[in-house]
Amino acid sequence: MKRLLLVLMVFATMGTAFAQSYQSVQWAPIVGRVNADTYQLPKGAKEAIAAEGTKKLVIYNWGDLSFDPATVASGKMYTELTGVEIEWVGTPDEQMMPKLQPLFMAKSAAVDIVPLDGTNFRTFVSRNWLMQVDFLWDEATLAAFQSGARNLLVEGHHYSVPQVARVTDIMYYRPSMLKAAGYSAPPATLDELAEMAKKMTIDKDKNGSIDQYGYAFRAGGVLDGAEIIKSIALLYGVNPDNVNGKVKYNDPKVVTAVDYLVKLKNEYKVVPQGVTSYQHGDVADYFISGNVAIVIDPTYLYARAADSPIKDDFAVALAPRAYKGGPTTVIQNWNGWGISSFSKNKAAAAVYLDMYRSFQAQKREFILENNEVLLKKVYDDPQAKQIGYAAVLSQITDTVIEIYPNQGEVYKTVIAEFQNALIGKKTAQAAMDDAQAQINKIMGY
Amino acid sequence: MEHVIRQQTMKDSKFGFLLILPSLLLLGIIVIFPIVYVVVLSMTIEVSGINIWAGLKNYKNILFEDSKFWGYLLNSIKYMVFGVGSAFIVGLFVSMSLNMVTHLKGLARTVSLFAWAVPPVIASLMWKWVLNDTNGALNFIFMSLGVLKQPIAWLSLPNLTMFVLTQVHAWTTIPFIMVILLAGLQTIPRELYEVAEIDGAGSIQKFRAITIPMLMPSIQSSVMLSTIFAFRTFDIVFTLTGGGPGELTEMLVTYVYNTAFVFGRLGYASALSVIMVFISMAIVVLFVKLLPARDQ
Repeated sequence: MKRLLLVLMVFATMGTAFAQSYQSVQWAPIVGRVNADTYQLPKGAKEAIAAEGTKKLVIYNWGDLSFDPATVASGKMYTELTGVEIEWVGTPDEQMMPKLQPLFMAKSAAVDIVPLDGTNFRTFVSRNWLMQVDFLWDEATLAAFQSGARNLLVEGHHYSVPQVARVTDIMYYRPSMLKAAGYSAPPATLDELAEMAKKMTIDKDKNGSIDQYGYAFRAGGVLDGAEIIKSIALLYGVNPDNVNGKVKYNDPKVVTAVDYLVKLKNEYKVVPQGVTSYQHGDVADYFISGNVAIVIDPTYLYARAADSPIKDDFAVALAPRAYKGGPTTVIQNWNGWGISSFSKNKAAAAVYLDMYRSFQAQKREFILENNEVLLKKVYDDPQAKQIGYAAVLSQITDTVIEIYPNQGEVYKTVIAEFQNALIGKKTAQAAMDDAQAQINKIMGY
Repeated sequence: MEHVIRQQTMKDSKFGFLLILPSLLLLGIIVIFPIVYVVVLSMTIEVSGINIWAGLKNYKNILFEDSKFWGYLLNSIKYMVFGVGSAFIVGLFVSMSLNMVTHLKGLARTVSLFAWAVPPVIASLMWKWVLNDTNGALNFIFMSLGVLKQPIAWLSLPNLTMFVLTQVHAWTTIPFIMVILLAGLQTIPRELYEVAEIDGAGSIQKFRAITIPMLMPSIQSSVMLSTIFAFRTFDIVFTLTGGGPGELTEMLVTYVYNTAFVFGRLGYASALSVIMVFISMAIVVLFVKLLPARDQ
C-alpha cells in the first residue's frame, strides 16, 4: 500500500511539473520582447522546455512549405534559439480540417501547433481543442497590434497569436489598357469602375468574341464569394457580418453591393461569364495572363505580377470607393497559430507562438512573402516602406477581421445565393432574402 | 472413413481460422471500429462543442426535414446516370476496338489507360484549365475550328455545368470500364462468331445475340462499381465547381464534406455518411436484380 502511494505521489509530482512547465516561464514584459528588433527568448524558456523534455515540435502549415519562405526562416530561428527541431506538415487547405479534426477527436498528441483561420478557429475553440494562451498577452501587447487582433478574443480569452493578416482588396490595373481607352488614372469610385470597365471590354479583332475584359472578380470559393460581397458592402459603409451585432446579408446596402456585381456580369457584360467558378488564385492567374484591365484582389498578387510577363505594365491603387469621400474599409484575412490542448510540448509550443508574433518574424512575413501583418511596428520599418504597395496600404482607413461561430455555414449559404443571382435565377434582393432566411436558422435569430 | 475426413476438415478449418485471426483483428481495428464509431457519432448532435446523444434525430431530420438532402441526392443520381452512362458507351466502343487491334496492341492498350493513371485531383485541375472560359483549351479549339463564335463558360452555365461535370467524370472512368469489358470480350470463344457467320448473322445480330449476353457479367461488375465510384466522387465536383453555380452541382458527398469540415457538424455528417452507405448497398442490389450475370 505504501509503495502504491509512493508511486502515485511520484506520478502526481511529475504531472504537476509538466502541467506547469510553460507557467514557469517569465513571459512579462511581453510587449518589449515582441517589439524588439531582435527577438529574445523569455526568461526561463529554455529551462521549461528542458523540463518537459521537448526535442521536436510538429507543426501543420497551410500548403507546401516551398511557398512559405518566411515561415521556414522563422522556424529555423526558433530551432537556433531553443534547440527544438520542427517537423512541418504541409497540408493543402481543403485537407486541413479532415486531417486535424480526427486527431483532435482522438485527443492525439501527434500535433503540437495548428494553423488557424476564420474557417476553423471558432470550431476548435468551442470544442476545447485549443489551449488558452492568455499568458502571452496583456493590454500593452494587444495595443501593439492592429485593432483586428481584438476580434480574435473568445469570451475574453486568447487562443492564438497572429501569423499574417492579408489585405484582401487592393486594385491592380494595366496602365497601357487604361491609356488606350483614354484614361490617365484608375477609377476612384465604383461608378467610375463600371464605366471604365465598359470601355475596356473589347472585341479587338471584331470576331464576336471578347478579347479583353474590363474587370474580373471571384465568385467561386466559399470564402471568396462571401468576401467579394462583404468588401463592396464595406465600401457602402456596412459590414454584413456585424450589423448591430447580427449577421445580415439582406441589409439594403449589402443588396446594393450584390446588385452592382450582378449588373457588371449580366447587364454591362464587362466581366467573364465564368466568374462563378473563379476561386482565389483564378483572378490572379487571369490578370497575369494579360487579358483583363482591372482586378481587385489580395496583396499576394503583387509579388506574382511583379514576377510575370506583365511586370512592366501593371500598377496598384486603393480599391474604388462606393462614392466620393466614402469609407475605404477593407477585409483582412487572418491566419494564426494555436496550440493543441493535447500537446505534450506546451512550453516549447508557447515559445514558438511568442516568437512568431515578434517584430522579427512578422517583418519577415511582410518583406519575404508580402503578407500583411497585424504588428504595427513592422510598417514603420524602412524596408517595409519600400514594398511596392506600401503607399496603398497607408491610405486604407480601417480594416475588418470578423470571426464568429458558424461562419463557414453562413458563407456557404451566401455564396450559393450570390451565384443564383449571378446566373440570373434570382434577383439580388430575392437571393439575399433567401440567404438571410437560412442565416437566421443557422445563427438561431 | 467419413468421420475421419470430417474431423480432418474441422482441424483444417480451425487451423485456417487461427491463421487469419491476426488479419481479422487488424481488420476489426482499422475497418470495423471506424464504422461503428461513425454510426455512434451519427446518433449525436453538437451542443456547445460537445456531442450529446440524440438517438435517430439526425436521420429523421435528414429524411423528413432537410430539403437540401433530397435536392443533392437528385444531383448525385443525375451525375451517376450521365457520367457512368457516357463512360460505358465509350468504354464499350473502345474495348471492342482494342479487341480487334492486332498491330501495336500493347501500345494501344497502354495509351487508352492514360486517363486512369492520372490522379483524380490532377485530372480535375487539368480539366479546370481546359474548361476555363477565357483562356481554356476547349474554347480555343472550338473557336479555331469555327464550331463556336463565342467562348462558353462551361462551368458556369446553369443548363450545361452538370453535363460537363459528368463528361469529365466519364473521361476518368472510361479506362476502368474498358479494361473490364476487354477482359470479358477476350473470354468469348471465337467459334461462336464463326458459327453465327455461317448462319448468316450480321454484325448487329452478332453483337446483340453473342457479345452482349456473353459480356453481361463484365457489364454488371464494371457498371456497378463505376456507379458506386461516381456516387462518392468528390475531387471533380469540389475542384471544378465547388457545388455551383448556386447549388446546381452540389452532391451528397460534397454535402457530407461541408457539413463535417466547414460547418463542423460531425453528428449530422456521420448520419449523412451512413445513409450514403445504404444507398450504395441499394445500388448493388439494383444492379444484381437489373443486370443478372447470365450463366455462360
